[in-house]
Amino acid sequence: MTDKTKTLRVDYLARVEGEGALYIRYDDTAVHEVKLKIFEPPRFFEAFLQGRDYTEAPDITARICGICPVAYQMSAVHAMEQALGIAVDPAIEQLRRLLYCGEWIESHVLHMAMLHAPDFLHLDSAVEMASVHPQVVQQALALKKAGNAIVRVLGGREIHPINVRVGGFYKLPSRQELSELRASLDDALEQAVALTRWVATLTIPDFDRQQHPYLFVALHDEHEYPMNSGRLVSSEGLNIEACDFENHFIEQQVAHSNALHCLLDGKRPYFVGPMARFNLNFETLSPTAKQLAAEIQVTPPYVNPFGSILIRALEVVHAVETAMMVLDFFSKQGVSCSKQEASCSKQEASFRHNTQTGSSYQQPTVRAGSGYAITEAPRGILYHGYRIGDDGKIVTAKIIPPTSQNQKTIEDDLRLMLPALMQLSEDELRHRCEQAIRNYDPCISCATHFLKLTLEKGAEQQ
Amino acid sequence: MSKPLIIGLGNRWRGDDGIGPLVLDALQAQNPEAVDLLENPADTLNLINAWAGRKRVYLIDACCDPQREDGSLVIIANALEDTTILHTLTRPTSSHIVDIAQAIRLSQALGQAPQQLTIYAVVTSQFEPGTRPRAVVAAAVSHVVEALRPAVTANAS
Repeated sequence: MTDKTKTLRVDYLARVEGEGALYIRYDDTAVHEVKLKIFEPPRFFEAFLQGRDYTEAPDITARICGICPVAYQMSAVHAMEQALGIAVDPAIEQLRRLLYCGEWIESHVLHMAMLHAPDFLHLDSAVEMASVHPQVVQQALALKKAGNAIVRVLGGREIHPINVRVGGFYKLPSRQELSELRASLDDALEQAVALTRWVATLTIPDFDRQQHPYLFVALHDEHEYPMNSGRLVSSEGLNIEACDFENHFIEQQVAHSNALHCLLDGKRPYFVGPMARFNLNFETLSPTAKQLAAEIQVTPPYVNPFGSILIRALEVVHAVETAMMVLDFFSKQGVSCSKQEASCSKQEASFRHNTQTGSSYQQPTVRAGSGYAITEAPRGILYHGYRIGDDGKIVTAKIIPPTSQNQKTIEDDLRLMLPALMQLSEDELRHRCEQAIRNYDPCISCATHFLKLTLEKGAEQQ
Repeated sequence: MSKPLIIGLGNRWRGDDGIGPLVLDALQAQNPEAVDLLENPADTLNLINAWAGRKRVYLIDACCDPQREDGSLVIIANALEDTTILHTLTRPTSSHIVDIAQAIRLSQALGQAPQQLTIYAVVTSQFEPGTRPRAVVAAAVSHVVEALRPAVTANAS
């Protein structure tokens, strides 16, 4: 410790979900300590679930987050269905995929346009953003409206949807509702493409971690860009089922955070979220998203976290295009569509065949069992593991959200980024640190919640 | 699009919070043709699109004010110019939602604010899940409906 030691604190991190703080101790020679302090109180959802019926898991866990409730519902139902031995109808799978598209669109556009884009433009708020770039905010609002509409039609309402159940849905949307929903997306793809091209005009700060490469972890499905399906893979060759997750990924408690840190083998930080998904699944991005990626020169391996906003934009394009495809198949079922027929995959053809079933859910036979599932929340992989008794009551529950998994990687980014930024003023340095954290769109409400930054020179260690 | 828009905010199943929808029910019973009614747009950002291009918008909501009796009516006659009261409200706990004051500011920044926005807020205090508004609060419905009568009966302009 020297008298030149500086302490950088952010007491409340703005424009992230939840409550947390940042503490960095450094001097001219090195960064000595970086702590992403999550002080939002523990929320005890895993304990709430014990003793509750298996049917309640999707709706209870959806309450963990108002931004990604669909992700919680999806991971919960898949885990419960595995525990109960249910294989849902492919039509149900596609409706779930559609619902997830709605959530990705809602979550990504809000983060990009209102919370993260201001960082690149040195603006302080969404209101300033709306004043300077009204057309961008209007596009984002229109896209968010489109995402909201999908969640409302499939999920029953926009916030905390209530229509998802183990085995399917409580109520299937009518063909007319789906046709109207499809029509409401007519302009969305164009808006998503325009928003992506605008995001590509932002100046992305350089940040190179070649000496400390990221370990990317995401689902991978050879047929589709992952939301609800796939094996868990990494950029270093890991390839496992969800049921093996806890054999590889270990949660650890750290004194400065109420959210557990999750590490590979209990040692390695890793990276989940859009950039991991993109790098591990580029080939299954939708055609327009892939074409646009080439146009804006964002292709895998893409490793600059400040460019995550570009990948979110591409994922919005993907989600809109996927939603349109799913809705096209539903609205055209029973109608000859030779052109579509020729171009669709076997899986899509199977899906179209099975949309005739009309059943909203499959009733399980209650039995004791264990189930594990991972789905891709907007911020990255979300793990649920349950054990249920022969009465259908939940015995144990384990939930590991994406922000818990990214915490250590965020701290590492800050530690590695700072030495090159020492010439910046304290205000600029603080801003850059917050921007680096927002690269991950952290949801502290999920991880338990987040951020506070004050800068002190010559402070003693705390 | 020139019809006045009346928006009722609130959850019908969270006690007194249901006052906004209750006012809309009373207005709907009068089968008004001169106004559009919108119940609870869920995501507050939806307000921005809902009231864009409107000349007059009326927003009905519940509020908390320990200095006033439950059921009393607070009227903010021109919420677009006088957001003093709105800024005293508790801020949203999530960065991913906006409150009414933020929705107004965003609308103004986008040039999509209505020409006139009037807020009728009924003082409330009980929000028990699964319950309806208490009688003392529901009694305010007639006061709000009466206050809205000129808008409801006027020709669209």
